[in-house]
Amino acid sequence: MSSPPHSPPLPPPPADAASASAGGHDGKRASTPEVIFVEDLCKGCELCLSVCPTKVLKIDTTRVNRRGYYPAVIYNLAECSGCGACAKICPDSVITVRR
Amino acid sequence: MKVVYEKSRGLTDTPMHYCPGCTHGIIHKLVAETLVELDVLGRAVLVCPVGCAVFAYEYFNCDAQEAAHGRAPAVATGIKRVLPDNVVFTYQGDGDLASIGTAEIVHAAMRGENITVVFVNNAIYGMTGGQMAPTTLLGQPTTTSPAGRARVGQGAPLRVCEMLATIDATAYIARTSVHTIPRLNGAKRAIKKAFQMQLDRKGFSLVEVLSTCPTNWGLSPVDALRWVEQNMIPVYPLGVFKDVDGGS
Amino acid sequence: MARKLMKGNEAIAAAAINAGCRHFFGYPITPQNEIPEYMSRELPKVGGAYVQAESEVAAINMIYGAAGAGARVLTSSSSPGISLMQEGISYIAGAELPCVLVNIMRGGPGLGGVQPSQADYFQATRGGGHGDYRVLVLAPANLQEAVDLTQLAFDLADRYRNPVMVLADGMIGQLMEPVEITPYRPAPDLPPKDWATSGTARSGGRQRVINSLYLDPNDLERHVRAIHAKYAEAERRETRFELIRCEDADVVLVAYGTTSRIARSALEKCRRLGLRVGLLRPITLYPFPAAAFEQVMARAKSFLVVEMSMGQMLDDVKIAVAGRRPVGFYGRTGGVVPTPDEVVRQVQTLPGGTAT
Repeated sequence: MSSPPHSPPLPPPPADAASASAGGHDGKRASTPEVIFVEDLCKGCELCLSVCPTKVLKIDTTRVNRRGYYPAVIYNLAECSGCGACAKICPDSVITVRR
Repeated sequence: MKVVYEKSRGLTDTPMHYCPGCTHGIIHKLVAETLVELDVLGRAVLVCPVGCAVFAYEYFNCDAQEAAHGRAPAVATGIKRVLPDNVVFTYQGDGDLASIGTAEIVHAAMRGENITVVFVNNAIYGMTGGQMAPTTLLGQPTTTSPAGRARVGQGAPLRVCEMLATIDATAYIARTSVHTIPRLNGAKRAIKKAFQMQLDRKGFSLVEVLSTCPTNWGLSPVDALRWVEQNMIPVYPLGVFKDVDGGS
Repeated sequence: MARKLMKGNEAIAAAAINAGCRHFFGYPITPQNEIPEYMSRELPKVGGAYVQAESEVAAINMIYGAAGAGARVLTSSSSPGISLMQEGISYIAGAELPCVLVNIMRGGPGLGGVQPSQADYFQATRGGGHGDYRVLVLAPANLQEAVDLTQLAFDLADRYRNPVMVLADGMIGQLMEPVEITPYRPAPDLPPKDWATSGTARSGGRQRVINSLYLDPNDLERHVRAIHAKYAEAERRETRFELIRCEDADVVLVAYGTTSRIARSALEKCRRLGLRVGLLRPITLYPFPAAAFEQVMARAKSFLVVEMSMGQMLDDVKIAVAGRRPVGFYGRTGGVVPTPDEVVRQVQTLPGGTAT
């Protein structure tokens, strides 16, 4: 049996996209999902990155969390579909997704 | 705003000690969510293994007993016979279940004990530092098969689901994985079905979950998921091997 | 209840049911098979469960689970099977669970033989399994005592949250004697089992974990010391022994179980020969009744330990006597049962063993 086909690659995010690790939606787009990372639980395993269909997650290598890992963050909330795949696969229950 | 996904209340707040990307965390979530969704968390009793999940009692929000290595199905038998209305489940790795505990799992299945077994198979001994397991693949290097597991002298991988499915008093035997979201969803469905079998008093149920050990496989967590797809599934095919409801 | 003629194994099983045991997990092995057989017949009649485990290893782990779930549980075996149970017994002691174990001793080591012996004294009283723990050990000498001690064992197990062993031999297991299954009520001051894993719904949401894992050595030491505080309490409160004609005894026989009855016969023969012989019969082997020796020390000239072994209780007697008197030993092993005459001859070789 084969695994499902990967999503086609998305265009790279706009150059001025801001990191949005704390989640919360901007009031202009009511459908933007809320994605919250409890950062200090993250072990930087990248499983969330591997299942994100819109590729809006990245590992932030500019800092380490309290456990000493580079944490995963959502850097392009605008493109997030709110599917929750990242939250589902995260072994440490770091992520909450609301839509 | 509706919740798409949040941490299950079947889990405690204790941060998990598992290695980054270890699938134990994922499987714990699936089981915890199932107990909550079936509304049995308050009468669940977990039997913990010896292995990386020896501390599972720290993470599940239910009563628990720590079992000696391999003996969880026997401990679970004792609990279930005393508390038949409780939901009794074991959570075991491949050394615990398929090596030292082979007699206990076979006989709990033989007796049709009305318990649920979650079998975490990552083809290696994680906690003790990466030794060969009964489920280690041919050619797979481990600390006790440094040249790769050889059929002569070390045998070939043990297929637990296929073996147990030959036992009459089993109700549900399934092999799943969590290396992609669709497979993860399938694993959760199987786990839920297995616990439902216990609630319906249909007999012994077991769900094998193909899992990773990035640390001892020497792979990144993401590459380890791919290793499951490429190497484990050909040896351990996914599917339902026994279903008294006729769903094989 | 009326007295009836029963086989020792069955009397022990009946006593356990009478004391509230409703769960038995075990495995067949000679010479104790009547215990699981009796349980398989009688437990379903009282709403209990008999489970024949796949091995003694599995059986002791079922005991662990059932004890952790709050039940009064019994298992029985004979020497080689008790060896298999040692890991589980260590876990039960480490997790502070109550259970009653019955060892109907047979000849060993290894596969040995099926005839009676007392060669598991070390195994029973010195832990047997790994780690710093003890098992409370009760040694009946006749079937009525086996009934009474089995019932007591359940109370002791609950009180001390520890395994308690009824240590008998194949003779006691197979003998038939008149017994009364004495009316039983649990001791009124037994602590409630508020640690049993019956589900968080029943405990008001409080998680209960049965465990013996303490990776921090300071925690483990604290835990082990707390367990040993229980043993110190048991040593103060639970030591049991019997003294027969020791007030004027020159030679004190020391024997337990079946051997004590043989020693008793030897005592009578010696007395008829004009020898002043007494019998010190330990009933608890752990805690060992060292205090009994103080009661006879002033008068006794020597001790003779008689065992169906190469000398195991002998060590505890030497510790208790502390070099103050000669301690002789007479033993048969391999399943051979000594005769009273053999014991009499041995007495005659000891200080105080000749008629004056």
